Amino acid sequence: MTPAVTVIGSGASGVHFALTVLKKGGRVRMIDVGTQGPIQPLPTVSLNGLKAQLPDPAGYFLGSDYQGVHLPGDNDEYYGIPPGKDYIFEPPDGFGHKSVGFAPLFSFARGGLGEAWTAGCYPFNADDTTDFPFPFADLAVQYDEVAERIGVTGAVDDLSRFMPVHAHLLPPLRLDAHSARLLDSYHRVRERMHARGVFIGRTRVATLSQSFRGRQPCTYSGRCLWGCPTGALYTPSFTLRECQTYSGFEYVPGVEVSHLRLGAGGGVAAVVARDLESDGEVEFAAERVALAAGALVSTRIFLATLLRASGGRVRLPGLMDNRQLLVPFLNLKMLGQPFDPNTYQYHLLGMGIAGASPSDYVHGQITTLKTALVHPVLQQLPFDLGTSVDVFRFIHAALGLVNVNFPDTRRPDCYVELTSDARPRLAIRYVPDPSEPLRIKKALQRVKRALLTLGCLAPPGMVHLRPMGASVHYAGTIPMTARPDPFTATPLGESRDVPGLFLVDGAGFPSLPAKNLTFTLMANAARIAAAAF
Amino acid sequence: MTGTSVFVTGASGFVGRRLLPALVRGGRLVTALDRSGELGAAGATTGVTICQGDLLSPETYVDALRSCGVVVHLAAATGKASANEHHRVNALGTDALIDACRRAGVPRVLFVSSIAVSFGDQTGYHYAVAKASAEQTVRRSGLRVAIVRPTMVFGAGSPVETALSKLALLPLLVVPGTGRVRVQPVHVDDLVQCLIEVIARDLFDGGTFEVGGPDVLTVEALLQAIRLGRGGTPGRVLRLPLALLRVPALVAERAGLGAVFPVTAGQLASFCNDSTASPGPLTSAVPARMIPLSGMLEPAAVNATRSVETDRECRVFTRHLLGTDCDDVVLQAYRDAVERVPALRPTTAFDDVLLTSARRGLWWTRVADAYSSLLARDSTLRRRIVMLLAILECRAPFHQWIDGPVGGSSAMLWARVGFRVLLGILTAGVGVLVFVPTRLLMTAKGRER
Repeated sequence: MTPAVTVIGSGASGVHFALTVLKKGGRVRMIDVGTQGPIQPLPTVSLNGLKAQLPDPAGYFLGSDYQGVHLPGDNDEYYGIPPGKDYIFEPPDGFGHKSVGFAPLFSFARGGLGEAWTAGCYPFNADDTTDFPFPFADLAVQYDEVAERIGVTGAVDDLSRFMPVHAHLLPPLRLDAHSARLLDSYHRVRERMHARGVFIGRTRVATLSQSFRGRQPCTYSGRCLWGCPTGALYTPSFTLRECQTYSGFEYVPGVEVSHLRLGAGGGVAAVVARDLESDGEVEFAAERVALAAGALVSTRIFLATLLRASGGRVRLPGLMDNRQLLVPFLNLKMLGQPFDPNTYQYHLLGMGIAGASPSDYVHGQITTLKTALVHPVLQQLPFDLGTSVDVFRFIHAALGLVNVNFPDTRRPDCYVELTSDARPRLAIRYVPDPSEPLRIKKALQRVKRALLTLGCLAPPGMVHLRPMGASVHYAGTIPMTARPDPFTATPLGESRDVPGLFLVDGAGFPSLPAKNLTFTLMANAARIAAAAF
Repeated sequence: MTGTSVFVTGASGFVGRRLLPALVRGGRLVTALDRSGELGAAGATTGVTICQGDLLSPETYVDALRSCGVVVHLAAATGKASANEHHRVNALGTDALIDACRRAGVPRVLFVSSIAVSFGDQTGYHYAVAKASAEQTVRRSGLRVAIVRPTMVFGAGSPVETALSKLALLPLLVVPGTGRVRVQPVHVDDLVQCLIEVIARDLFDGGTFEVGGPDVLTVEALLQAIRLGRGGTPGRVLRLPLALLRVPALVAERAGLGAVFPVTAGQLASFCNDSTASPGPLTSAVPARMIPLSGMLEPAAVNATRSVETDRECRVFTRHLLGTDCDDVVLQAYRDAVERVPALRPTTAFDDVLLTSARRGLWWTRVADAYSSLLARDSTLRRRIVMLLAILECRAPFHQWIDGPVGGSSAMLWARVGFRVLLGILTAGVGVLVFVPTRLLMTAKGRER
């Protein structure tokens, strides 16, 4: 029997779309590549306990091929993905793409890219959604719903002016000593900071501070980077498992969707995919399909569908991503202080930087250095490595990083299309906005000044501008619009070119504020499911 | 049977660790019974629900059984466990599980037994006796069941392969018994595939399936193959009458001194009984894909000289970084990294000079590294020291020398760091004086660009 809706992809959008339909009594079939990773060893043991108890700690922390080691000359980022999470970015055989000015990451894992996120939940506000063709209230109610599903911790504080306070907000996580000191410093210079348009507060994160819907709270084991061992940090695979408890849900892993076959009326007739085990083509009858494979892969499926149906190649403009700037800092008040490895490792503080207009808002996540591997940082010091170890121990507790996110808008010279090969691949081109260097320079000045006010130095030469694509906040290729233009979607995400096809992930976003969009992906997918199914 | 949820006992064991990810990859919902809480320490898979419980305490897992369509029973006491322990875990544990399955309404049970159950001579082999008892319990359960009897199971982490390797690498090739009994090792991945076949093809009609690999050979030939595969040379064979080993082992076990013997009397049964599998529907379905013995015994070629050099280098670099010596785990990891990571091999003659100099001792390491920190930051020497640093920071107790707290008053700390930095600068100066002329000389002689 054909299910009410076929969902492609099990990431943040797909699972919350599916769960909303299931809760309404609908039937869902979810098609997914669904790569799986290793489970976390010794879940009750702390990070340093693992270093003592694992039979092969180097294999766990550095990877079986030492791929987690940052060697001098690698010209890499400060930190990469821990080896245990490599599976999240492994493409199926034969998957390829061509990119200019963009370094995309794709995920075919069960749970999608959300399996590797840092749990930041930053709801958009009414100013952020002026380009969205529906009232902000429609989204706000879904933030409440999603927060109730995943468990979001945080506080009502100075950052709330940028992030609406939704329902079901759990108490914030425990601060580590460095973050607590930064917040304390901020409160002493709060008025000065506000006068400069800089606000600091608790980040909102989908990591539990208390038991919630059968999940245990954070145990502060210091293992966040390598994968939460207790399930306190939410990932979409939790919601997938919840979906699997519904009799109306069918999960089909091990298949990679290539395109949709359209019926005589131009609407969806079937999902065409490759069975990864047999390498043969399989077809799933479907009249209504929710594309939730991540903005880029969803776009590829959409383009391949149009190509098969009409033979025409289409270029979709408007690809967006948040540019990220990493600003390391040294808190002079923390020099020589001890640090506690048994703490939450991701960002606990955020920095909101107001712009001339609401759309110029810039968002920073402040992460203090705790149990992350230190050899990537230590080798940057200008000494022999023996001396560097001694110096590093002195400064370890004083190190931190601000990850500054910039907004993006849809522009015609940032586009996605298919190559003209026999087996068309995704071709991506991204050209930064000409005003970007100046915007980055100004924001960097404000961040450095704010840090200085807090008693922190940003060492010269250490600021790192991440390549476009690194933030993995992709959006905007098939935007929801009020105007019925081709290659757009209705306010409920339905394609105007392929009736029955719903774009429920970032592909449908008409603009991208400087906030991690994952929470909004979930809320928007739930909104579409609630209204259209 | 797509979508059947599977409950696995013994999930953290040698076979269980391979079975879990294979089941999850197949789209099954998997629940794993975990007694010790250490499930997955060596690589199981996400998507598995952990059920903390003990096989012998059904109340700890009976609720989890209710939603499962198949139970795969792998849990077992093996090796040098006492006769009582074999009986308690393998026989009584299976009784408890089967009883819980009946109460929970589990329709199908797949019991992984052992080829040892078919041995004619089971003298002192408590494991085989207990497994035979467990097979009877499973057959009489009234449930739909399947029993799989694997032969020797090989693969990374295999207990039997490890034990045979120790025997094969003795100076003389010691063979208990005549050496003529036949064996048929099977790779753990092939065994896992067979278990999955049983579930996928719903072969729960009470059948017993013996599973062996594609190669049948004598146990003596197997020991020789292991010896060669581990980098040894063909060994002179010393065949020992089985009774010579068995009787003392039996006496020692009865006196509670079994631990002093390398093998149990029961394990010696493998040297007087054929351990081969009768062909059946499982192995005949997948023979072409099965891993041959040669694939199980990849040659472990070791360049002894290079290994000694690398170990010396690792020790001196550890003293340079932490002021202490490293342990065998660090040595092994460093040796492995140097062998396998291409970026750790010298690329130029001067690169080699820096590395060779640093190996000469602690003072030279400091000077060469200090030079590298200024003028050769991407050198192989620095890359190797960073690799070692990464290994050390992942290993207790060494990580404490890198990220542990520094004691003392604030003034003391500043003074200590200041002194260390000053020393570092001086060492770098010496490095420049030593290595800049060396490099210039090599360039002049055309040995370095």
